[in-house]
Amino acid sequence: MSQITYSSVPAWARPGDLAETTTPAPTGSAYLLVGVGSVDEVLDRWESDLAPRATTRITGDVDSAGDALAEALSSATVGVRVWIAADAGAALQLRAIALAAGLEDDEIDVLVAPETTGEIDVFCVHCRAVNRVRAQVDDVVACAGCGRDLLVYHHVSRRTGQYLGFQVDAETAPFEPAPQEVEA
Amino acid sequence: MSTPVAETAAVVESGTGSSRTDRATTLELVVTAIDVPAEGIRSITLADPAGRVLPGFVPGSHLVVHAGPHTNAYSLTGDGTHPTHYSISVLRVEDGNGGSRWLHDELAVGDTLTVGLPRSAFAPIARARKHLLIAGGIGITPMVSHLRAAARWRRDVQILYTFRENAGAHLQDVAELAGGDAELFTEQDAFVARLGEALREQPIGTHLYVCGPAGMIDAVIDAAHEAGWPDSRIHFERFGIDALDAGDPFRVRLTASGRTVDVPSGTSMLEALEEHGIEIPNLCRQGVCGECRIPLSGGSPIHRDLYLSAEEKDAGDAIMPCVSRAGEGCTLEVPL
Amino acid sequence: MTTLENTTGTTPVATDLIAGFPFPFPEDRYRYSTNVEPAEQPVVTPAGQWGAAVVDIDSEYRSELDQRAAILAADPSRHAVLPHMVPAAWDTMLTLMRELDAVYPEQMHLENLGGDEWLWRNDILGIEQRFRYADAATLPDEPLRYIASQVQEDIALLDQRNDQLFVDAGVVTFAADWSFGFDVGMSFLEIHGPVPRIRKEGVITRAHEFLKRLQPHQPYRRTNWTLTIDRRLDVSTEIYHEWGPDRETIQHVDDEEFGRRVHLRVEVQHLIRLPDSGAIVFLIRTYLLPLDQLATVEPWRRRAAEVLAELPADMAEYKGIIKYRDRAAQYLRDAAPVAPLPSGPGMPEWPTTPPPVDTTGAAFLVVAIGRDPETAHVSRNWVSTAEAAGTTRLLVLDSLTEEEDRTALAAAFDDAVIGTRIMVAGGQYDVMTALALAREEGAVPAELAAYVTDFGDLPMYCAHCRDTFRVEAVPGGVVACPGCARDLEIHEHHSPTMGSYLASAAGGDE
Repeated sequence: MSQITYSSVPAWARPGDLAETTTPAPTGSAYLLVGVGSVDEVLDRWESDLAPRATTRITGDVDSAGDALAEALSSATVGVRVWIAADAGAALQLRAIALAAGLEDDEIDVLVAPETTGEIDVFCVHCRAVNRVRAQVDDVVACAGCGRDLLVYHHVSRRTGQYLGFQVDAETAPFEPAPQEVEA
Repeated sequence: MSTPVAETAAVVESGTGSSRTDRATTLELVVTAIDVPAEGIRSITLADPAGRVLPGFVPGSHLVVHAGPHTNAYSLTGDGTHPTHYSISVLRVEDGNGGSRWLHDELAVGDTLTVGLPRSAFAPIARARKHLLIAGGIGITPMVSHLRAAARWRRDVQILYTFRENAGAHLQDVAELAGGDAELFTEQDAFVARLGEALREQPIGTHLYVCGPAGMIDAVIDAAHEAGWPDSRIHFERFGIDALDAGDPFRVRLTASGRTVDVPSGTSMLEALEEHGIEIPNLCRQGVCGECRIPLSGGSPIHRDLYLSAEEKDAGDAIMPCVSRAGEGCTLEVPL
Repeated sequence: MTTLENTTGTTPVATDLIAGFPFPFPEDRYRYSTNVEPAEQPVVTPAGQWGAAVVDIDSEYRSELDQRAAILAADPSRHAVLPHMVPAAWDTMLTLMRELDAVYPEQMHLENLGGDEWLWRNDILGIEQRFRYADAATLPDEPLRYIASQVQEDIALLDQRNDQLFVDAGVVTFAADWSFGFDVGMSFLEIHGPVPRIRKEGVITRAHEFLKRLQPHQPYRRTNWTLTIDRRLDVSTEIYHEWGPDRETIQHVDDEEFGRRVHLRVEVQHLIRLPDSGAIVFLIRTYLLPLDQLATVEPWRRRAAEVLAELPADMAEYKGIIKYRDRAAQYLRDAAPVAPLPSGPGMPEWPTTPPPVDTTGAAFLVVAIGRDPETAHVSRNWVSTAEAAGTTRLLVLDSLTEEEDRTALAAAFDDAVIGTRIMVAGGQYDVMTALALAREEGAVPAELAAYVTDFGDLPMYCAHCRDTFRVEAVPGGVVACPGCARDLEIHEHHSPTMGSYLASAAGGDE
């Protein structure tokens, strides 16, 4: 577990780390405040710290909030900032959407909130299925695509917001794949 | 079967063929043309005397030019993909170090000029959805190569170019390459007003590039911050200072052998020691690998490496001679 | 370059694969370091040479290209070019074409036809292609994939932005225990997150700073290594379930199979700042050599054994070799060459096959004594190997019972320079006599090698008349002493310095 300190898992997504409680530096000209879960208090505080009419609030579950975020970014101008308040799994998804829209790291801030669904996306490197599961790094989850037991590895893709999952017992349990393999 | 040693040696020598201009460290180029596009500006075209293709360069690159006794850097304005010539535009600066005056007053067509290989320090960002170029005066030069690349790759580009009346350079290039995406200004107020608008209407993913007089660069950066631009999107090139870091000359006293080695400006301590027959194990020669570390018994080093820890640098008892130096005229003591 | 005569890989381990193998250990112990160095400097090894250029074509060319094509057909995720990396892909293609043309001018040919028009020829694959730079319609394939189908290297492209490097494009079909498809888009620091030690020790941060400062036309390189079971290039995470079980089962095979199947895997990585797009290209060239072949190069055998035995457990774990690296070290140690000489006392242990030439020698003296055709054959083979490594002299003698032959041999030893390797072939009497003479002249055991082709005779020292004679007899046998006529029993006891077996009166005391 000590390896995680230097891994691709962002600091705010590591289990057990304290969440930042301060408002990020307000260097932007417009702010998209995205909240998933019980984070109203955080969004309220951000709004009050920022200039009125500079903020847009987006809430919902991770999928609907993500869609709304993508929509808002499609007409945004440089100067926009995306501030995310969500649990680790949702935050990774939302960050991926912001990056895909063309933002850089210094235009995005994340405050990890107490677990809402606790769900993360685990990519099965063998069959390419994306497993949305309640889990953390070092857990073992069953792949819905091929049935393999996947180790949730401390390796996160910023592009997709997914954790890498690979067969935990590949060396000792020669595998017979399930009859149907689902491609993601 | 193993390669006979004699044949290997032949392979060793011919491996880096002398006909490759892109493996030289300096080039001797001939001046093939000199134009005067505007008052105080000279555009100089250079080519290989043997007609060979020159090393390619990234847009925004500069060329280090040995202008008589001076060394200056100038942006390359041509196409860098398969260059048969290099073009630079030089503003005559009265109170500079003399390099630009030399290039204006001394250099003639047919002369030979020693240059380094092009260096990239102001490249377009690949992921940019759009490129917003702000140029002032001679600061237009790196933008010209940016515009060439934008035309080739069909990039979305917008350029604001401000200059003193009759002192604009590369106006035809800008018109051909950017067309309606170019706006020219000869009045400060109009430029500032339009700049403020432009900075507030760029789609996300746009990157900003600024080049020109120092004051202008500072003003544009301030305006960008005001408009909410993050640092990751602001790129600028200051002329004169950044390009070269040859360091001051200093000396190394080798206390064991009693010799003193002079380290001139532009020569690394490692190179100077090697030239005096002192062999020091080395690998990267760039200050990262740690291989060339030698002890220091006296003197104040200027550490430029990325290998020694902060504590080790403070202790002052070791140095990485491939990149680190000392102050002008100072002496370092090395127990070798 | 010498490796191009055979690009079809007719034998699994062709001799050029040993000659060109980039042995990765500069010391007897291995730790991670920012081991970047300028590229294109040839490295001479005990077996040959590598590293003169940034691209390398060897006898596996066609085989590896075919494997790459098959892997891409089965799994397209090994090839990715994020949209903003299109210019870098073209740049990589043109840059590699330029390098191939410079390094293999007879087979590769790049010509500019004016402006952005180019002509490319690859005579090994029989390709001729005209294209226009940046115009996708003029190439049969996406440019990165196009050039990846003509080089053995894997290709990864890094985009530099916001003070970081992102792996945003590549063709990587021979990944060593990582997934390029998953990692596309990750930053350099993020990708190296899981590697133990290196972040804490600053190795990766320094490498990162170094890469960001790379300039065009100054390529650098570094090496990486691990062990792979079987000659498997593709050991990516995607198919971990296919190659992973071998790490378990290899523990239970016999030594012959172990040495044949376990390979030292070396990556030579070239780091190049592309001159048009400004992206950084990582060319990753993978080399595999089975341990049984590695063991035939003595300095490699010895050092690799040390490195494997000493490697810290966390590094061995990360490299995936923890289950069998101790056995690999032991295998290499056990493969030490049989002492080529009798070392006394007791019975001499003669090698059952002619010992190999120690190619680290400064010069070579091969001595062939007697008319046995096998002696001629063995010495001829030694000469042809030795000649490739240094000045070689062949001395052919009839018999060391003859004074003039002894004189000639003594003179040859006298003339030999320090560091000469002496190799003797012949019958047992002549070989033992020659070796003793060599030792008298100052040769040390490490410089001597021998092969006995006939055990019909031997040198015998009579304890009574204190003289040495050639006799046709075997140890344990009885023979009449040519000197004092006593019946002597030849003891199973020899002296290398005297070059003889001890014999004394049969039935009597010693």
